[in-house]
Amino acid sequence: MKKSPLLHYALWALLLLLSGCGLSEVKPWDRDLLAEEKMQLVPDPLDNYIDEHIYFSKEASQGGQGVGGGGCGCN
Amino acid sequence: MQLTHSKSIRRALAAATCSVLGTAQAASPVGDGWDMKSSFLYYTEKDRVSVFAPGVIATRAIGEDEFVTITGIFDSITGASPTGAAPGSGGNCGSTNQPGMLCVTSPSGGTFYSSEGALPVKSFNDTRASLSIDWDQSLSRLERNRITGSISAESDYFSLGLSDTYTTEFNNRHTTLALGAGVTLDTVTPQGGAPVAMTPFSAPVTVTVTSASGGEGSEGEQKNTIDLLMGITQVINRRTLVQLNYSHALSSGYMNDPYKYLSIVDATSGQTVDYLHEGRPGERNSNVLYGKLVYHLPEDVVHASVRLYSDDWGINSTTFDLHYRYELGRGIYLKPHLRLYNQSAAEFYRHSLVNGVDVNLAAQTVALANASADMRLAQMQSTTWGLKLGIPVGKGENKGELALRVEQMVQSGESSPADAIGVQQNYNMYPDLEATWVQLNYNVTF
Repeated sequence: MKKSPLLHYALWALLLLLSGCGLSEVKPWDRDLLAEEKMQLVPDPLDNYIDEHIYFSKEASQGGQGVGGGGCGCN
Repeated sequence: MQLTHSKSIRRALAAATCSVLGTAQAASPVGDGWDMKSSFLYYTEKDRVSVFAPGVIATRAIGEDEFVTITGIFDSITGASPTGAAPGSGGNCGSTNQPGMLCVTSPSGGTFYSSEGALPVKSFNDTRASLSIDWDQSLSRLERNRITGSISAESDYFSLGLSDTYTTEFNNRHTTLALGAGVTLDTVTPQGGAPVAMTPFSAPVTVTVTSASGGEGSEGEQKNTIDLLMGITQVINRRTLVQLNYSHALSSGYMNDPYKYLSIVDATSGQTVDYLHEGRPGERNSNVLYGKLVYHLPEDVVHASVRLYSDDWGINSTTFDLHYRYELGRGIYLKPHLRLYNQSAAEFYRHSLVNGVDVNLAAQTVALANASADMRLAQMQSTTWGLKLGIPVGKGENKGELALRVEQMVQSGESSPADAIGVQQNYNMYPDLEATWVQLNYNVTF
């Protein structure tokens, strides 16, 4: 089995994220934009569910956004 | 009026909490009523499958900072699916044969025809019903837990899933750590029994009710999957949110597609001489790195994500996904979508097998441990583009949204592989898959 390069990418990305690069404190009263529904990580859960199901049934890859989920005979 | 104001504050606070959760979440929790998102989907592929699928996601509070979400989807599927057989001609199906036609009689009794050079497909009809229930509750001011149970049923496939995701916030609620674990138990009950993997159609024993793994066909074959996830979501500034997830999945058990097989071709002419039931490794380990950026422009919002996938079947893939929500005013928006995907082939993917090299039909021996011609395991790339129009409807407590979206996907692979033999060089060995789906959404709070 080939060693996956993903671990290296993950460590570099994590390091960048935790280094504080470009971060600024956002006070609770400044979170109006972050609170908007369109700013959610998954603003359209039904669209996302349907798309992931279609890609799962047509491609060899899956996952990344969460854990579990209903299996199906489509792949 | 006071009630409305109070509800809008609760919604905003709940949404703010959700915005930094580390995983894909369903609808933002709401006040005292139901938040319902419904859709009608029509999916169609050129010359292949069509699906009609109504679906709903409904969320409501069941306690103080405690929510339940119910997701239900019903798929009605008709059409034809590739069998794995390579385009060609020949076969012997008696008097119904026509010159140039490729004819396949499977050991389970089915006979399939395709015109010369066309991709062999098999017609089928099926329905699938899936239901999942999420229970999301606050454990403390900074911690949440979400348990999800799911069930999915088809005529020949049954799946049960249970997962848990724990999230905790720190760094003045700028950082959220998510830890998730899930298990999925699948049962496959192929029509006509599970084929004996890696066996030619002409072998004395091909399809039996007793499977290769020892289980009775009527009881089905088992496949289990364990998922683990660790994710971090970071508020970068007032307008920017970043998510990074690492997940690992381990699947084991019956990994074959019981309806897929490979063509065995003559080493010189490339003409099909027999077929072989596919066989895949009984275990699969995958690693996924997923990163997402959400950025709020003055009015518009961008969602961009990258996914890197790698597994021990030899499949490596990259997915780039971009949504841009363009505000037209009065809550109306357009959302163009672009997705680019490419994957390498599984180590055991073969478009066809060669008699005398991979398989010796005279001696009834197979030189390979695993082989599959499933086009989804081939090297390929895919482009999806789409457009969504959203329009707000209703007022006050019953405010909702009506939306229509159209997506189109084109998937292409190696149409002229270098190892094509004889007549195969005249055929398109990987015809493009062209799919279109149209979805009508209606979201409402009541």
